[in-house]
Amino acid sequence: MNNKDFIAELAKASNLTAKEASEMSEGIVQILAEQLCNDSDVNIQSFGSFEVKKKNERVVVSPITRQRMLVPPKLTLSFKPNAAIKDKFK
Amino acid sequence: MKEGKFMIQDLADVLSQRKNISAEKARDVARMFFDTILAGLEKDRFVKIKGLGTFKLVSVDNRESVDVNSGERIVIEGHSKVSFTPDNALKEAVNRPFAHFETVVLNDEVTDEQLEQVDKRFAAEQEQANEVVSKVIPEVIPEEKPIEEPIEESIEKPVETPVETVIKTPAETPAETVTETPIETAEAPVEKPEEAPKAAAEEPVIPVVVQQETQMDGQKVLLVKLVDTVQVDVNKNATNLMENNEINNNIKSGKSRTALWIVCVVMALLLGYILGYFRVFGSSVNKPTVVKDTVYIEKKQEKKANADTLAAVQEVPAAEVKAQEPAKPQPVVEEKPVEKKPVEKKTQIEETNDSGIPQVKYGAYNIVGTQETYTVKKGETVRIIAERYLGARDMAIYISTYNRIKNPDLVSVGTVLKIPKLEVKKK
Repeated sequence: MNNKDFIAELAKASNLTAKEASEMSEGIVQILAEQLCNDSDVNIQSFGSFEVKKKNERVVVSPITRQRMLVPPKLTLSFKPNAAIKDKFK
Repeated sequence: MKEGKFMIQDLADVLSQRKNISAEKARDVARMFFDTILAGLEKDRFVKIKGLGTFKLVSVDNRESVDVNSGERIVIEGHSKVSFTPDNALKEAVNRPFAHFETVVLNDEVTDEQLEQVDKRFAAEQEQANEVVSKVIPEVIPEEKPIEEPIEESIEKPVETPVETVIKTPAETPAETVTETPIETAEAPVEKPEEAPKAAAEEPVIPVVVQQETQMDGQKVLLVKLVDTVQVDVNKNATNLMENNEINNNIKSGKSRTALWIVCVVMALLLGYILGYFRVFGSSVNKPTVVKDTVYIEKKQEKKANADTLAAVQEVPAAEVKAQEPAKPQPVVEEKPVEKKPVEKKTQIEETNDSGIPQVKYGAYNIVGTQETYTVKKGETVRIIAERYLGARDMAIYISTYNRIKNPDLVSVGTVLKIPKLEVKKK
């Protein structure tokens, strides 16, 4: 299901026009992104939680050139599905 | 995190403010948003949302595991799990605080703090290195020069002298003594000097060495004098017939001939030995200038002798080569490490622990002692014994390592093997 299908579904489920649904979707994504960028987790009940995790810097070795490289630390976004959702798709 | 969890209610509140919709409506929309994601996952197994990312259902195969409590083997059945890959834009937005970092290629043992220091040191070291190089170069050049000079001289002199003397003497002598046609004699000497320079080019150090020898050793001076007396004969030789040794023999008296031979061979051997000696310890190049006159004569003799020996016999260079070979210690030294290397490789596999017991480096077990001993019977290999005592043929490496056997497939009957006692390596 791509974004277009998703908007259509959302519009149908919440009695909105496709354009409105698209705006709502974008709004929600924007808010989520803002929150996540501000270092706060987002926990959606009955869905799951979005967390920003810090991955430490590490040294990797290129298998081709055998060079050792220092990979810098980074912040990654991770999603952990709710236990109920986990069970649902099991 | 810091301001508490951001719940769906907070999301709805913000949404209602931004989109100017009622709180209830916003809450519904927010809920529908996530419910639709779940519905989409169920339907298509993936949902892609612009700006957020992709949710996917990933199927996981059956896998075996061990019950943590009982240690029993259990099978975790295959299932699906939800995976989420954030959109690139969101990924970068989240990582913005660390975005300026880049992957760095590391040299050997470098830590973060060292990297900064190294930059400063590097600049300083480069300056130092430049200075050192500029100092070293003037030192090296004077060292090289003395080596080059004698070689040049030695090459030049022999080239000149034989050409002069050899050509002259034949030109004079044949008219006086020999009755043969001048054409032949003319040809022969021409060939000779050609060969002589070649020899000089091949063995440029020879004259120098001879100088030193004559200075140092009285006996060798005598030898050289011998050559001196013989030289007349050599000249005659050169004038008479150069190409045919047989005719030479006929004309020349046997005594002078044999004497020449002996002297030539002795000289060649000596030269070969000294050559080798100076190539190995070649740094010392003495330049005696005082004795140049005598040396000059000696060189002439030398060249004559060379010319003669080259024309007559090829054994002399061979003898020289032979004499050089034992004098060079370098190849012998090189061979030794080659022999050592495989031994070192073996020791890498079989390292010994503190108590002196050889260990299999990458094995899962440590050898802690002797379980029992076993005498090999006919038709048995270490692998068969390993299967009996250690449970698997592959465990033969522990027996062969413990008993320091090189070929586990070849054990003689009656060999007493120590069966090692094994212990799982702890991590």
